[in-house]
This record gives sequence, structure tokens and C-alpha cells, in this order.
Amino acid sequence: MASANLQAYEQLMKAAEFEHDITSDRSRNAMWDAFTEDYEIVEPPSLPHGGVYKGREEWARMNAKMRSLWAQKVTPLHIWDLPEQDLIILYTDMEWTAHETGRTVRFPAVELLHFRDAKICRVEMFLQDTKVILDTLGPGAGRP
Amino acid sequence: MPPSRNMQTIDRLRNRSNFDDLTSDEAHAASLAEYTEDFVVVEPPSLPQRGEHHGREQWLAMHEIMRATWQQKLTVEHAWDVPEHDVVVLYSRMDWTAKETGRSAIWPTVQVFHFRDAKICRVEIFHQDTQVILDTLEPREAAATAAGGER
Repeated sequence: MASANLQAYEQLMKAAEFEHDITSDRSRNAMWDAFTEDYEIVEPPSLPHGGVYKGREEWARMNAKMRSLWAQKVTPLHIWDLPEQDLIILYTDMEWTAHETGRTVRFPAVELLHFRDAKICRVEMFLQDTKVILDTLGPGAGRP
Repeated sequence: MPPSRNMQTIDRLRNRSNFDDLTSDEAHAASLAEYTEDFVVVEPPSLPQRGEHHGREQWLAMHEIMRATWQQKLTVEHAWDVPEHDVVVLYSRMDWTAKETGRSAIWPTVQVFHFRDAKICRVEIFHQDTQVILDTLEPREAAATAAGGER
């Protein structure tokens, strides 16, 4: 039987449209409902949206920053559920297209989804190669 | 519940290796004892050691590139076992110092180990930020100029 965490994740997948648009209103609303109020996300520091964001409001601002730069899709390839650790490890295939340059990159990623009471309370992102992602934005992209 | 055969392999590797010097002879011997003959290691495409490395010879050649470029240390913080998928995921803290520039960086890394018959057959490396790693290779003066000022 699926754990409570996995059920919550599957519900999120149904409500969102990650395979078409990670940052659409539909995906954002689905994630908002799946996150704890004190949700925290860690993004790679060199990306324009890099850093640690605490709370759903900060996350929503980071999400809007990503949306302004890329069209983003994600397809989960493996879902490793570790209920005793309150953790789901996602192995995904990402596809990001920069609005400014039209450049697209596909890459694997690992997302660590930590849960509390079957809600996602922390996510840590491991994208295979931030340099490759930054290159889609053209020269001078990245952290200020 | 006792650790799975895969986790026992990882434990053995952790006990026998030298994570204060990832590309040392000691670390090589410990790794090769736990790898299948046809193992594959996947490194991020922007790094000097980039690409898929198949088997012992390619892997050792890749390690020579890394060893020439950085002094590398690793501290394992979490080891997550997924035996039904023949996977172990390690969450580690990396500490690399570039030999040419002396610049260091510390960051978290996820390593996905795939197993066949309790031997490691594929490893995929997910550093938190390859740009941060590449920055260690830039002399400080060049980095400051690129950033538009002194650091």
C-alpha cells in the first residue's frame, strides 16, 4: 500500500501539470496546497532564482522569477518512497526553454522531498548541471 | 531490519575508502572492489571530467583528470536505501580545492548508486551547483573582473 506521503505526492501530480508547465497557475496552486505553511526550498546558488526560500509566499516569488525566464517541464522517471525517513526521492527528466534566447536544454534531476504529516515541508533541488542551464540564458546570466 | 546487501556494499566501501582523498589509490581500490566490470559513471557535462565513463579504464582516466584539477574530500551525511529498486542514494558534503588557483568550495551532492547482484553497476553524480565548482578554476583576478569589481 502506498504511504501517506506517496499518496499526497500522487494527488499533487494529478492536480498539477508538471509535464506541461511547472510554473502555471494550475501547478502553482496544486503545490501551494501540498506544502506546509513553513515550507522551505533550496535552489542552486548560481541560478537567477538561487537560494533558500522559507514560507509559501517566498516560494511563490521564486516561482514567478523562474516563470519569467524559462518554460519548464518535468517528467518523473523514478519515485523512491522512504516513509520511515519521511522522504520521497524523485528522479526526473527536466526540459527548460529560455524565453529570451529560445534555447532548450534537457537534463536529469534529483529532488529530495521531505514530508511532515503527509505535507511537503522541504525540497532540495539537484539539477545535473547548472552551467548548462545558465548557458540557455545567454551571456551574463546568473546571480547578480 | 538488517541493512540490505546493497547497503552492506556501500558500508564496506565507506569503511575501506579514503574520503579525505577521493582520487587516491586507496579510494580507487575500495571502489573497484565493489563495482561490476561493466560499471558506468555519469558526470555533469560542463565539468572537466564530463560524460559517461564505461568500465575501469575510462573511470581511472576520468579520475586522473579530477586528480590533476582538484584535491577532493567527501563527507557522507545520509545514505538512503531503496532495495526494491536496487538503488542507494548518498547525500554528501563535498570539499574541493582547485590545485591551480587554490580556491575551495563546499557544497552538497547527491550520488545515485544502481546495483546488480549487490555490486555497483552505475553511479550518477548530482552536484548542487556545477557553476560553483567551475568558479574554483577561475583565478580570483579573473573572477573579480567578470563580476565587475574586487571580491
